[in-house]
Amino acid sequence: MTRELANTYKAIYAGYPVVYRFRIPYTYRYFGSFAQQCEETSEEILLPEEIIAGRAALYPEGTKKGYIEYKELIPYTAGHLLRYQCSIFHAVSFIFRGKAWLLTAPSGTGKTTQYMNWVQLHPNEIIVISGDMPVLAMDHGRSIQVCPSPWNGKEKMGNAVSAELGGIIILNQDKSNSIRFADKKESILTLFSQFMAIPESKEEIRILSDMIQRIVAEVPIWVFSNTGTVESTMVLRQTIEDYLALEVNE
Amino acid sequence: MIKVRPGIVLTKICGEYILVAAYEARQFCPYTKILNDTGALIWECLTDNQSIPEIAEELKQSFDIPADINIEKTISDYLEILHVNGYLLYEEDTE
Repeated sequence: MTRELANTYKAIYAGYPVVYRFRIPYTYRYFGSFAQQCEETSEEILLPEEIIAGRAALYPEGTKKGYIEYKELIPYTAGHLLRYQCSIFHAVSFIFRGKAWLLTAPSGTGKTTQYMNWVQLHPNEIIVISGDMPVLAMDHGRSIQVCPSPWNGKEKMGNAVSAELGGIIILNQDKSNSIRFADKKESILTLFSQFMAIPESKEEIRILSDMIQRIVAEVPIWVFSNTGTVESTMVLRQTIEDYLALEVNE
Repeated sequence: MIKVRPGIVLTKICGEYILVAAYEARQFCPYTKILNDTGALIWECLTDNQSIPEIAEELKQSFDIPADINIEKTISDYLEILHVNGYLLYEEDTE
């Protein structure tokens, strides 16, 4: 006789498991190939009951409860992953010249526009990892890895590929194009705001701080004020090319 | 009596001091705030429950402070900014 499984699913992010007990029976569908049904465990993430109803007003009318659950699980997942020195980061992430690059900014600032411009200009040279929220993993002294997640934005852009983090580009909308290295303070504050984890304890703040310290110390972070045109994307591409050329020569 | 709000942690990243509000505290104050070296020392004194005169003494020992500065008033003003931003609690505060 087979035992009936509860609505419990395991997802693997950057090699680490997260187990969910979904409140809505069809939520697992939004996780695609990430969610595999599994036995119940003692460490499941179960969204507090009031969250789905309480947050519904923030979504367009008629949004399905399963979709709300899938979206509201992001900070819980991001927080859970901190124990593995991993978390979810708000950015469009793509691989170019063998490394992962993150375009980050608040929603509506032009992350997807920059990515789509790049695809239009050079369709065969980049691969998207996640269109909205990749997982950053930096455990056990490995280089910082950018890994896929099921949260890929409205355009649902994502692939089952990972790469070492090459750099981060903080986007600003502007009437002209200019790019410069971010200073330490703006790098740190931006990284805090774009990690999706909401630390709940001193220990989680320490882990997140260590992760941010590694990023600031190990990879370039630029501030890219841009018009959102294909010309602006050419400026960005050239900046990365120049940086990679310098890295090879050092 | 002044005390730091529970859930606020001072962290240091690449030489920069940052106050970070953990989950429970985030409804009362901004998630992050950069502090300079003086601000960080004041915060550390507050977490040790030191009074304003004691904090002033610590600052005098750690920094070159011009004699004409009313250091206790400067500290009080700074604490008021942190209080208005939600990082500190005064005894009379109720939430």
